[in-house]
Amino acid sequence: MNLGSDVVITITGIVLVFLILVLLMAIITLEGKIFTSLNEKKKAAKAAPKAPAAKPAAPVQSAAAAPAPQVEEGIPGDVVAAIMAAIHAMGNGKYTLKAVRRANNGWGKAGVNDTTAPF
Amino acid sequence: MAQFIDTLVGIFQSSGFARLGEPGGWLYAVMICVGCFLLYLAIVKEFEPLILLPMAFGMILANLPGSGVIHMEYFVGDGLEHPMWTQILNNGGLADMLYMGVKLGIYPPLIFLGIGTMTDFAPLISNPKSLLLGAAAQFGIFGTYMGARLLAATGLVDFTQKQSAAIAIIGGADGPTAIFVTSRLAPELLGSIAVAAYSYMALVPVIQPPIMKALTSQKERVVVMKQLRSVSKTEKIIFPVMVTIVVSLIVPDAAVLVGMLMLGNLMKECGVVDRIQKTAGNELMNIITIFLALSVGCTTSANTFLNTRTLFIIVLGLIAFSFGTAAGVLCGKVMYLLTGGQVNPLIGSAGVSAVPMAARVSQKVGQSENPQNFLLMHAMGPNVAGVIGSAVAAGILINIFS
Repeated sequence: MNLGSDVVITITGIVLVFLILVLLMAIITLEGKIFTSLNEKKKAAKAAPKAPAAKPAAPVQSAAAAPAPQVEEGIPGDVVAAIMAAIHAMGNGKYTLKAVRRANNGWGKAGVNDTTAPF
Repeated sequence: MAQFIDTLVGIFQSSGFARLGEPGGWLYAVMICVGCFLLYLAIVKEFEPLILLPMAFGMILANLPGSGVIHMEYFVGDGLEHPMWTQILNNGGLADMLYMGVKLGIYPPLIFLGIGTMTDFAPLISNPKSLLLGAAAQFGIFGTYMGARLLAATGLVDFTQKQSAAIAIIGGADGPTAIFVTSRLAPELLGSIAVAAYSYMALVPVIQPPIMKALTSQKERVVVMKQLRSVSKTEKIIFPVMVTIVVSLIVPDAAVLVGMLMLGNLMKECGVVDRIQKTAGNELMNIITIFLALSVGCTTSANTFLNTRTLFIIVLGLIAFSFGTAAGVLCGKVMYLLTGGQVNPLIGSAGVSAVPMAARVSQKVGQSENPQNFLLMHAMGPNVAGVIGSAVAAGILINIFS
C-alpha cells in the first residue's frame, strides 16, 4: 500500500476544491461590483432631472393655503400634527394631508409577512 | 390425501420461512429487523422520511428469502466490468429496472434538478465569501479519505482507494452526490453508504451543535451579522449559467451534477418556464425519490450489509461529518478574526450541504445565545456553497479514480 499517493490525492483534492470555489467567489464578487455600480449610475441618472424641479416647489405658502384635512372623530389633534410633520419630513413639503381616517391595523401583518415571506 | 400433504410440504419447503431456517438464513431475519428499525426511525422519529421510508421498505423486500426482487449478481461481482445487460433484460424485474437508474447515474442528477428549482442562491451571491466556508467543509471528505486509507493500512479492513473515496463522500452530507459517486466507484458498498449518508443527514441537529459550541467562544456566537444586500434578477439568472460553465470547464466530471442543479435554478430564476419548473421540483423529484430510495434499499442484501465493513463505514461517515462541520466552523473563526468580528463562525457549520437543515442548526444555535440574532439567511450562503463544493469534490474524486 502506497500512502504517499493517498496524501497527494488528499492535498490535490482539497487544493482543487478551494481553487475552484475561490475562482467562483472572485467572479461573483466582480459581477456584484459591476451590478452595484450600474445600479448607482441608474439611481443617479433618475435623481438628476428631479433636482432642478425641486427648487420651484419650495414655497411653504402652498401648504398653508391648502384646506384643513378632514379628520375622523376621535383622532386627537396631536396625532394629526405628528402625521402631518412626518409627511412633510418625508415628502419635503411635496405632499399635503387631505384626510385622516382609522384603518385596520396592518403593521402586525406586515411584520409577519416581512419575516416569513423569504422562507 | 398424501398428494395434498406433499403439495403443502412442497409449498412450505420453497417458502421464505423454510429458507430462514437454512444455514445463514438468520442473516435475512436480522436484515428484516434492520429494515423495520429504519422504518421506525422514518415514521416515528421522522428521520429523512421521504428517503428512509422507501429505502427501509426496499431493504425488507430484498431480504425476504426467495423473493428475488433484485439480482445484484447481474450488476456487481468479481471481474464484472459491465452489468449483464442480457440477463437483466431477460430475467430482471421491477427493482432491477429501477436500479439501472442508479447504476447509470441518472437519478442523482435528476434529484439535483429538483433541488435547483427550490434553491435560492441570493444569500451566496450577496456574500460570495460564503464559498470559502463551503469549500472548508469539504475537508471532511478528503480527511475521511485519508482516514479510510490509514485504516486499510492497519489491515483492520480492506478498503480499496475507490471504496475509500466513496465512503469519504458521506462527508459532503449530500445524499444524491454520495449515491452518484458510490455507484461509479464502489457499487458494492452502495447500500451501506446510502444508509449511513442519509442517517447522518437526519442527525445533523444532534451531531453539529456540540462541535459548534466546542470550537467557538460565547463572544463569537453572539455576533450579529450585517444585513445582506439585495440581489437583482439579472444576477440570479447569470449565476447558474456562469457556475455551470466555469465548474464544468475545470472539472468535466462534475458537469452533470452541477449542470442539473443550475438548470433547475435557472428555471426558477428566469420566471418564464413556470410549468416545467414546478414539474421538476415536485412530481419529477418525487417520482425519482421513490425510484432511487427503493432501488438503493434493495441493494442491501445480508451478505453485503451485515459485515465489519458496514460498521467501519458508519464510523468513518460520522468522522467525515464531524470533520466537515469542524473545518467549516474553524474557517468561520478565521473569517471572524480577519473581518474584525463581523462574521459569526456558527454559519461555517452550514458548509456541509444538508440543505436547509445545517443552516437551521446555525440559526438555532445562534439564537440560543442571542434571541435577537437571525443567522438563517447568512447560513444559507455557506449551505448552498456546500452543495456546489460537494459536487465539485465528487467530480474530482470520479476524475481521479475512474
